[in-house]
Amino acid sequence: MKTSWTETARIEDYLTHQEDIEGCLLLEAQLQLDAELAQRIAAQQASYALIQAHGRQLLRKEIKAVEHKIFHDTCYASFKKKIRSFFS
Amino acid sequence: METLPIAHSKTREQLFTDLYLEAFPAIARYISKTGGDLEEAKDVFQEALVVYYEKVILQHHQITISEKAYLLGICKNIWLKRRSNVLKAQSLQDEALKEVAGKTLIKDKLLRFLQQTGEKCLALLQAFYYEKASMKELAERFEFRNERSATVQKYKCLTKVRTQIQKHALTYEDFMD
Repeated sequence: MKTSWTETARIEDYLTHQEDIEGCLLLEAQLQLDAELAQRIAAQQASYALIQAHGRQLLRKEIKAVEHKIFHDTCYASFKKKIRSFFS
Repeated sequence: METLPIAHSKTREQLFTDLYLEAFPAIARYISKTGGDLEEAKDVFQEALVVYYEKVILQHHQITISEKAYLLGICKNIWLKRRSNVLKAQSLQDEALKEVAGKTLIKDKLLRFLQQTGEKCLALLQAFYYEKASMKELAERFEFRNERSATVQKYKCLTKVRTQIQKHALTYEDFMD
């Protein structure tokens, strides 16, 4: 399977509409000849979503650490008490 | 621990602490009144902070209301969506539930795999595609000779991720929550 980085760049340009008309037409023509190209395009779209998911996961970890500090640090005791009162 | 760079005048920890102290009480009260518990309130708020960070800090969306009101709006949407999803899930057939669980497992496994085997690559991709860092910033942060080298490496890393995704036969929808 061809996995050159230049093809990855072309697919990215195509997906983000940065490819010129000629380049788009060429890629679409290649799609007719290369059945696996469609799979690679779909996988590249999924890659962007995976990277987003990873970014969110890291951010979530940082937020959880802040939350842990707020709910365990004695200097936020009155805040914690106030929040708990809503659920009692 | 791998961390995201600071993209705000405050440190991110300070930003989240301030938002927590300012907005969480109203959100906790709302979740409580609509039948949720504290853990659900925390979870909804964490998700809302991610949305806030992506929209306001990373994508520079201008908000015309207070941060507290903005976060409350996001939380209400998330909470209502979750409650409706719970109702839908209850009506799903066993097979469909198994399929969803299977996909989640594959996604988690792949995330772990990528973290373990290609941390540098993933950090580079994340900096560009998630944090919207410029190629110039990437070249400096990851110590590439120039922007061209950073660009080539970014595409090589993306190709690596794409190959793994193809290998596991995953699709875009598998990563969309």
